[in-house]
Amino acid sequence: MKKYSLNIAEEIALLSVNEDGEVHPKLKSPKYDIVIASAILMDLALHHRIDTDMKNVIPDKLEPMGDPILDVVIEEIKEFGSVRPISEWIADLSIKGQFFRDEIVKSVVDLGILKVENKKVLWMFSKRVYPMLDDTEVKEVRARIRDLVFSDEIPDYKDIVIISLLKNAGILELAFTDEEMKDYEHRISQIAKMDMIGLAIGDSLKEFKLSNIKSFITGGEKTPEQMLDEHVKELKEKFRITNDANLPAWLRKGTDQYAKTLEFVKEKNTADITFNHRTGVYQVNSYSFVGHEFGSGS
Amino acid sequence: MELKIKKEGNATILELSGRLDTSNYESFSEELYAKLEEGGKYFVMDMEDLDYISSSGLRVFLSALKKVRATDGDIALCCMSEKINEVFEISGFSSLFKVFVSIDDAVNE
Repeated sequence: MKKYSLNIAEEIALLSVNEDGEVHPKLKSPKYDIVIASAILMDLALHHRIDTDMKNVIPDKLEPMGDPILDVVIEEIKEFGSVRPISEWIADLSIKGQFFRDEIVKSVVDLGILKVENKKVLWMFSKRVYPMLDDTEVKEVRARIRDLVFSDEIPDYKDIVIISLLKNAGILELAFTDEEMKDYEHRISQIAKMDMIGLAIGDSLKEFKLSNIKSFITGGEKTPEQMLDEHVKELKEKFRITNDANLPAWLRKGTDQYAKTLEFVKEKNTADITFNHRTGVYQVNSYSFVGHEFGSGS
Repeated sequence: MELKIKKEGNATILELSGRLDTSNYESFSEELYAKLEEGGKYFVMDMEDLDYISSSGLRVFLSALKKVRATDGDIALCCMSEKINEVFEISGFSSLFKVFVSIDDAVNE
């Protein structure tokens, strides 16, 4: 049965689509994977699947929610089975960023909110845009958080997390003008710090370095094994993963899934790839909202 | 977490001790809301013996504050340890509540 409500990651994604159907450039960056990961954790906290304190994610009622994106993460948390730092979960989930991007696109298209079209523009590029079929959801979340910031009302937790996410991810412009951000800076900061996961995003983004990744993940004289080793090393440094046990199976040496990952790296001659848990399919990262099932990414 | 409830003047005082976390935020919320339903308007949370609070606990406070303020009531916090005060400060929750050092100050307010 199709779900009828949007999760936070989907709400943020819809906020990022302008009237012409174009996705905000900041959300096409690999850094956005950290935002998606955080949004998912915030949603799980909102629905009491997890709890948090100043440092950690604490498992709570890990029942499925009927949401393909959130349920995948619930299963992972269940499998992990214990308390874990927020930053580590953000890192772990960020590695799966392309998978979540694909699922978000699929979801909002299935819900009839967006559709995907090829469109030629002036420079003769072909780019996918997302004309809005029903902008009700976008107006609702944007209007809601604007009303909250412009008032002195005590916020609901869901609005706290959305504002926290937008602020700590540096994408407040999705909902506010420059002048509004300046005039209401104190109010926005007051609300944004009320969520502990939001506080952790800021740290994760500061530590993020997308440095030299292209120099070793694509082709050249390196073997597929070397490419994948270096890619995993880069991810571990980027997301401060110190224990290989915390890597997903498809990136952890010695697992059957890792062997399949290596085969895909050999086939595509790049290690900048991701693995879709739901479909069991590998794809080359595109860092976009195009969506694997709509013909892009590899 | 242990919760003791008493009245002092027109204030209901809730003495929290132990941990407020995933294991008990629901029962705490139920007890608190029951008191709100009884028609109480002014509440003081005596947190002297509260050792730990998670986000779920903070959210109970937030929801309760919204409900109480909607009826022109209020919730005051008092007697927080340094550790709990830090949580409220860093999260910004201390800006939402009236915070007092002693229970007498909270009740008198």
